[in-house]
Amino acid sequence: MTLLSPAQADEGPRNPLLGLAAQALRHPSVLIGGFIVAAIVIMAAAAPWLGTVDPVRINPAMRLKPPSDPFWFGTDLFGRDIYSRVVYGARSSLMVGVSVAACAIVFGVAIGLVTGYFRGLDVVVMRVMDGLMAIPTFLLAIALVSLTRASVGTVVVALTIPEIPRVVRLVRSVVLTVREESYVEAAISVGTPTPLILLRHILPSTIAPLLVLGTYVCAQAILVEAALSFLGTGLPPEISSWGNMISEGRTFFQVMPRLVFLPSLFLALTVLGINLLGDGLRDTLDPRIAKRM
Amino acid sequence: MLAFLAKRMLAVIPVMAIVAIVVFLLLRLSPGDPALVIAGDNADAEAVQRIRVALGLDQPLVTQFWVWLRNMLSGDLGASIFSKLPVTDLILQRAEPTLSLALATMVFAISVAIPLGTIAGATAGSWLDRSLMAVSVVGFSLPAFVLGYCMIYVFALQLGWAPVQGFTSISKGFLPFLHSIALPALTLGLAYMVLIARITRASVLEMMGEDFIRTARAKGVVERLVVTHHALRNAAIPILTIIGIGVALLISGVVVIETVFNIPGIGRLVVDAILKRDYPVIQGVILLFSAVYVLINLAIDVGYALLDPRVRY
Repeated sequence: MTLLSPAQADEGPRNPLLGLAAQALRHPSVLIGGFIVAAIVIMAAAAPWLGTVDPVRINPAMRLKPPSDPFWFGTDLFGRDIYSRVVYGARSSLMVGVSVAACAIVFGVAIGLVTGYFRGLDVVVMRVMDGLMAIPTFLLAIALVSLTRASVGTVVVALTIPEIPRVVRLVRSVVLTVREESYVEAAISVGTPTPLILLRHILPSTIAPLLVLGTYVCAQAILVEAALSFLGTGLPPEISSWGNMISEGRTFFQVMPRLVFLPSLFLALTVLGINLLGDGLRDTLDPRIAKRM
Repeated sequence: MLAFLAKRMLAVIPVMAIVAIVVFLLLRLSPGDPALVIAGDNADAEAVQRIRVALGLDQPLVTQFWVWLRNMLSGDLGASIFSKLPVTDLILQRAEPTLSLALATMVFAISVAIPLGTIAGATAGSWLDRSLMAVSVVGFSLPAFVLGYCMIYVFALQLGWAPVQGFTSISKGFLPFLHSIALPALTLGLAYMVLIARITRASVLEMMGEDFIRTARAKGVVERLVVTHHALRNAAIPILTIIGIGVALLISGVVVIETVFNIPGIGRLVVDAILKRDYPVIQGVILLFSAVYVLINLAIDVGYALLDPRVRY
């Protein structure tokens, strides 16, 4: 029930959540995207049982080997098994993507709810958000990462900060519409405390659009993490991530394009899957969402 | 009208002020001490202190900010910690490749996207429309550097149509210049093109349902002119807006693409600066790129207020 805005909840007599889920699953984008995402998630979760070896074990005797029986995708310039590194790389990408989406939504919702509801704060906070959005996302992220030593934590923080203004704007636009609805006015008139109004009457309307925006933020974060690692300013080199693999492989690109193309293929497929899922959810959950993004 | 223009231009000031504060704080609050970096590992405490005073790092943060802001506004972006050269000189030296790449990309993306998006919008549901939408999802999902390597592999390594990497200055002739810029511009342009094409399609499609389109058809206007003169013209505002917003995509892309194609531009400058923690260079480039982004969007807003009689605030 929590998934629905009150307006939608009034429409169907049957359980509307089930109806909506069934409708979403009939959408080809949701089906294809969901299938790709599910496959990548299972691959990441089951990495140790998928015929992998230790993805960071260095074996100088087996450098740059072509694909063969023990090394399905061949080995890299340190003799590490590329197949294992690609499979474990899914863990890094998904972890970064999901953490960034979750953090950006938590902070964005908190700021957006409060600023949308209190007009005085609105002007100041939105100017700060405009300023943050004027700095190209990618530059802000690399500048933030360069401040400290590379670690998963700093990368997540650096990718989250540029995404927060987008969430704030979306939440604020929902709050501005919903606060004029009669059920919110009714709640105010019977003396409901403001925090309760925000959480119980306004927050539910933001869930559907946030679900869609969350998929886009997740996809964007995976792309930016890979680009940062590619430039050498992302995740520490000892972590198996697709961006790190492409970065290390690029010196040997002309002789062994495989070193770049294999991790690239999985990276592009993952992002494609998440984007398809997001497009499909946007179309089925609420057609009005598109106008707000 | 004048009131709108003045208001729109004044709105740039708080935005740029926030950008300046963020950029200043970002690098000043970093844990690394620039004075220690410059002095090197063997310097004694006294030498470090001398450098700190010379850079003004011993002053309170607010004082540092005002000094820094005054310098920025007078066009002095400071000097690189490593090469000691003024940041403005470093940026100017690297401006040609970046500017050429950005312009070539924009020309390519806009000239392909608008016709494509218009046709797709006017023939919604056709095979062209469907394939454009399919390509656009892929275009958004493919990281620029991955696409770059695919381009290099196919067009440079396999077919030999373009140089693998590097940049040829326009002073060495227009054709060699175009030859060196073509692959990077195509790579950088795909996501931008797809973005503009999608918005063009959506806004033309929306216009096609309007009453004035039916009127135009009823009075016997040829379908091609209905689309270009009636639908596309009225769909111009969202298209121009996305061209401006998409510049952010270009700026981010330039940084990565210059590394992929080994182009000695501003993007490469900032990546090298970040790897070496050369803070004045990082600050200068972020400020410059943000200012360019804000000013392009201001120009577009002002532009359509001047050109479109319906925009009145």
